[in-house]
Amino acid sequence: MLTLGIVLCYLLGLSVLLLISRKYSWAEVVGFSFLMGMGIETFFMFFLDIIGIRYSPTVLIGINVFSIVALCGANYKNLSLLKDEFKIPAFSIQQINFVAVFIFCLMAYLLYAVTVKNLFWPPTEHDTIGSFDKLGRVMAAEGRLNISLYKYDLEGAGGLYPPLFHASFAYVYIFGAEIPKIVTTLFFVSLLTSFYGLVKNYVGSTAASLFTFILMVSPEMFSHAALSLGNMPTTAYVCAGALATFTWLDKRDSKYFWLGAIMMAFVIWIRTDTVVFTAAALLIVGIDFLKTKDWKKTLIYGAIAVAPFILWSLYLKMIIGTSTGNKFDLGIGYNTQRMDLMLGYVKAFLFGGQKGAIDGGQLYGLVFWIFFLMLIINLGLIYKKGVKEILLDKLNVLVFFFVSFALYFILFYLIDEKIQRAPISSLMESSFKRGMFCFIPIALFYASTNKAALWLWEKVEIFRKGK
Amino acid sequence: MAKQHQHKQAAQQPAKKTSSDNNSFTYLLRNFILVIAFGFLFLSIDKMNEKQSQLPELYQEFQQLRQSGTNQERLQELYTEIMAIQNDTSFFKSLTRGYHWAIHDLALGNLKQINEMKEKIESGQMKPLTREDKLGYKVGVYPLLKYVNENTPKDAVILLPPGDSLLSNTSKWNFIYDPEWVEYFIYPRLCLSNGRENEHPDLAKRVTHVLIVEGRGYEKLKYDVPLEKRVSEILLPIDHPPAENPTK
Repeated sequence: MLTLGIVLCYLLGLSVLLLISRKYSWAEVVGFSFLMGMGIETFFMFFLDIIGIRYSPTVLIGINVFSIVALCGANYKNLSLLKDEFKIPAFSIQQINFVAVFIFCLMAYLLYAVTVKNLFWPPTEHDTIGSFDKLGRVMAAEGRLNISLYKYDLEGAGGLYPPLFHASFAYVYIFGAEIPKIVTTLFFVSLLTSFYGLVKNYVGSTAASLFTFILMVSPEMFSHAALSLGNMPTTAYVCAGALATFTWLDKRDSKYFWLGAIMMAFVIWIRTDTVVFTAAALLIVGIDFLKTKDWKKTLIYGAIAVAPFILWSLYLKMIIGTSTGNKFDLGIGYNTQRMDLMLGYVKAFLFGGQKGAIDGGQLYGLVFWIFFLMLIINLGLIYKKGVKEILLDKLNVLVFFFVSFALYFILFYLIDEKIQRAPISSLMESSFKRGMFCFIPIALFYASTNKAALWLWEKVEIFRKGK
Repeated sequence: MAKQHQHKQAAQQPAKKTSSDNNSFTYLLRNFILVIAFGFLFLSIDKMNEKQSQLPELYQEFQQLRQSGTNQERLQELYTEIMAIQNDTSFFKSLTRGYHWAIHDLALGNLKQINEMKEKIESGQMKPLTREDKLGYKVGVYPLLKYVNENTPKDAVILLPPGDSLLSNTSKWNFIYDPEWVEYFIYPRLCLSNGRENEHPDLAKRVTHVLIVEGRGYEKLKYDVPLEKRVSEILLPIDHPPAENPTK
């Protein structure tokens, strides 16, 4: 039964992908299908709750089968062309990238090891017991999103978050899962494959697999592949949404426009503090509008990306009878002590070193060093390639990275410690630390696809192929 | 003429094949060189941090030897080794030791531990673990919460012990004072935190049981329990004494 639920989720996502376009790489199909499918499943659950239909396997199977058939029916002409376009790839030794195969094997083994751990232990982390897994279990038991625990404030902090993550737990529970952690593995696989697929648009398999490997073994994030917390799944959506948006702005392939907008919508459907990424995405799309004057696409992107935030705020206010609340102290002004403390932590996160109980290098390894190193090397190419070409190289990515990071920093700077019932040092060592995951794929995307990196990978490929 | 052409083609084919074989060979060789290069890079980073992960074991051995006061030679050896590892604060190592932890301790270490457990289960040395067994293994206070479930009806409302430093500063009790955390284990029963009843007066009125931990919570009962009969941990109905005291 659980397998059926997961297959339906993938098929639903795939049906939407094929409605957008027929042309995807295998990595994109695997990565985006689950992210798209699970995002839509949770929207279904949201709307079922509003119209008062209780969740059950029958209801979910019915709605999935109907949607998949309807989507395929609407897309019939397009799908019939798929058969003609599908070719069994010709096989020859010289088409196999052995370096990528080697890295894939390493990744597969580590994925297997961490998945065994993930699926063996039930969720026991404080936040998932107090919130996410509890919400998922109770949603499945009561068959609704507006569960009884809201009446007694027993929902936990995650109860105010939009439902994508805990509803994904509810989804697998409804289909008979004993523990929900298969979802963690599927989000992790989707993060890796969507990253690989999107980076592969710019570089060969060698570089794409190497950077996917670096993404995978980022120590702290890798540990979340065996936990049931929302930070890694959030990273999967930020990665897919942001990288697809960059690719659309770069290559003007409209499938990435739709993928970027929809994935960005799910970014804010999984938790509200990811609004910093929505803002950064709207900024780069807005900057692009100044060049293209394409009102239609800008508005569609903005509307899709922001709609879930409005929907959830209305739901909280009108159905649950609460709000995300004001946890910020907007009158804090410039607090030198707080600023110094936070900057100290940021320095440790980005460049390594010790701050409080944090050892930055141990958390993210070489990721941010590689990012800044490639940025400096790229700037060094100004001498060779010219100022304009280098400054405009992946400017969208840099604007997105630095703007979202600055907003993320400000968000934490403004948090009211009394309302949050935690000192800022503790928030930096827990929430901020885990929120940093979202910047890892953006940093690695830039590091692997800027001009300097492309030059380097071209040399590697020439050596590897001998031509 | 046509025959001559065919003859020429036949003579050329083996040459083409040889060239293709050569190309494949050099292609494989070039790929192999890169695989070796990447493998060497990964392995070097891994080896570089090998000693760091031995630190907890060395430290444990050091502590044991120090307590027993035997084998001074080994003690000195361990001290030197520990100090050497701790003083090695090279920047690159500090940036890469997380990878060693993630791969060896988190992924492969756990894989080994789980496989050992599975082997024991298969050989009958250990009974198969259920979700409940695993929760009991990871959450120290789980047996107490299970006891709550077994001894209360599904509509019970449990008053939890107060979340003061006596409980919250010891990992023994996990988060037993936190209603959001406890609710996970006792649903569909409800719970309320001792001292925060005014936040939910409706729920406070419906309290059916008091969970007493470390002897605290007796004052919330609507009847008196003589001091000599008070036990440290117990679940009691709030309104009337239980017919038979269910001790933990």
